[in-house]
Amino acid sequence: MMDGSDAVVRLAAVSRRFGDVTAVDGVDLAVPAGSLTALLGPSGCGKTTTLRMIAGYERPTAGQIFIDGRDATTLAPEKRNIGMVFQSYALFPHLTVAKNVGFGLKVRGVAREEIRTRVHAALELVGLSDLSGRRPRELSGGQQQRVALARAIAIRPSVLLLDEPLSNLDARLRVQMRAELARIQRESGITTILVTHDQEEALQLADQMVILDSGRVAQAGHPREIFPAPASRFVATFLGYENFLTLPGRGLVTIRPEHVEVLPESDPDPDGGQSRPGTISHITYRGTDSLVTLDVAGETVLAAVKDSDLREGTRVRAVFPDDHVVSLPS
Amino acid sequence: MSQSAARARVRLARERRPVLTVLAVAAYLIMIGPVIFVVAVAFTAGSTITFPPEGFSLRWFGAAADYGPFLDGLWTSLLVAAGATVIALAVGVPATLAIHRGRLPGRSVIQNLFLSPIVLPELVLGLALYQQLMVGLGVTASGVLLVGHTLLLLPYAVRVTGASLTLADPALEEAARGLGAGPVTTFFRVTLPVLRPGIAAAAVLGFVTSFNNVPLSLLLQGSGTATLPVAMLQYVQTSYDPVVAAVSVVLLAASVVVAVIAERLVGFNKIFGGIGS
Repeated sequence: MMDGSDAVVRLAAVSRRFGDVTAVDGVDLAVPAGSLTALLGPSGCGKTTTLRMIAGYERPTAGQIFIDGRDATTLAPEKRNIGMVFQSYALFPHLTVAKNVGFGLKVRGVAREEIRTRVHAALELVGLSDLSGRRPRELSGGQQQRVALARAIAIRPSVLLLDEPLSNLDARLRVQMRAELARIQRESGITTILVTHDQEEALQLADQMVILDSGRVAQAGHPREIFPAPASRFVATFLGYENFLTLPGRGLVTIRPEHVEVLPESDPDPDGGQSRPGTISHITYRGTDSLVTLDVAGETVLAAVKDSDLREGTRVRAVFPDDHVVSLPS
Repeated sequence: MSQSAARARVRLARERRPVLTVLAVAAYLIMIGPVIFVVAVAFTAGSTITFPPEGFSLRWFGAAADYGPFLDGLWTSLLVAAGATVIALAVGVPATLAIHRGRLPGRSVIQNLFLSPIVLPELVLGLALYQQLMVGLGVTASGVLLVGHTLLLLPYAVRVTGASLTLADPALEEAARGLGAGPVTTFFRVTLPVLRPGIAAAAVLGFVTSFNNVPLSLLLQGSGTATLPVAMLQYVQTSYDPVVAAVSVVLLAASVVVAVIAERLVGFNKIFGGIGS
């Protein structure tokens, strides 16, 4: 999958410096045809700069970018056949929805009749065909987002680039649009690169997840490979592993709070796991479970437990099942 | 916010309202009073400026229309205002784009240069142009007048279009490029249409500023290049009759028409909101 032979977009040791700051530092990436790749990381990790280099809005200071097997490193954006959805949507305020969606076709000199058909098809795909006469300012945020998506898809791009597409929507709409996005990508089969800081979004949508840290690839692979086995403390933290501790025989390890078990102090060591005595210092009720903060020999351990008859100050035994303990390079 | 706090605020607003009303009425009277006076005087049947006017007639409008210097002045004013507005926009809009979108070294210096005529006393500007262009280079009076007014309007052209460019999403142009439009197509299909309200606002503001200008026009007038305000000023210095009031009423009516058109085209909020930001 990562050999790059069927890659629509390929980055080879791409770097981008702004003055003294290296925003992207030697990134290699292959995006297979029809797949959805998510570039994931905290703000400032270089994910947006990477996307902008693929689109042609930034030039790499080193390395090469290939689109459809062609060296596109220095190609102008209008010559790349990319469909970009901006975080701000960037809909043309002076044009109707239909004209926005048809813009890319019109400047390509596509015949009027065909523009009409393809605009209609694109709006149909995003479920907005009855709003084609509206202006962008007359639409809700979610509708604007769909128009931006339709506009990018209408040109039948080699690759669809999405820059934090859901970050401007409220929580409920975001979840809804996430499912919608997955459907549209599947139905259209367009190779897609998504930039996001939301790990849930990446886990749910991506075939390939690329986690960036300070401009470098920290880990890349299918979400099912990465999520249970983060390769570094950075990746683990980013994916919501909150406990980092040293266990005898295993060195530095991490474990998710929901996998830590809390047993009475008198219980014997269970099979298939290590345990440590500790004290409950705090309990936060969260509805479906409670987050228990444990003091284990001076280290803080978080455990998410369903059991609610625990009390603050009680001596307990924190159990770390071997199946869920992930070793990290120390 | 708690309900009682909200109620207290409503009560406070109500208590303040009579004071505010009085102040507002006073402000309107101070602004509109002199205008009402001028309008009333223009329709007098008498031959002196007195208030209340003696009877009603349109004779002073006829007298104004028959007075040559006013007609010449009106023509000069319209030509200068239109010409200066067009030139100022032709120079100012590309300059604004270069300042905001280009990668120029010393952008703020260039921007300040374009804005500087607004802080320069107009008499100084006028005197400088008079000496350098008219006396020094022998440029005609009407040419210098046009140059002077263009300089006067440049800050408006740069500032107002600049404000609407700042408000526009820079991603719009990137989006157009990504969709396959080259730089030239992007400029005409996206940048210019997005700027249109700003350009229209700058044009209206510029035209009115030039049309109403006295100091620069006064200093740069040559034979036959007196603008209407200058002609009016000169008329008042020698004669004191309602003719000037009649001309003022015509100007007032024209201003109202321009204001209504501007409001329809762009909206006042955009025109005046654009200057401050």
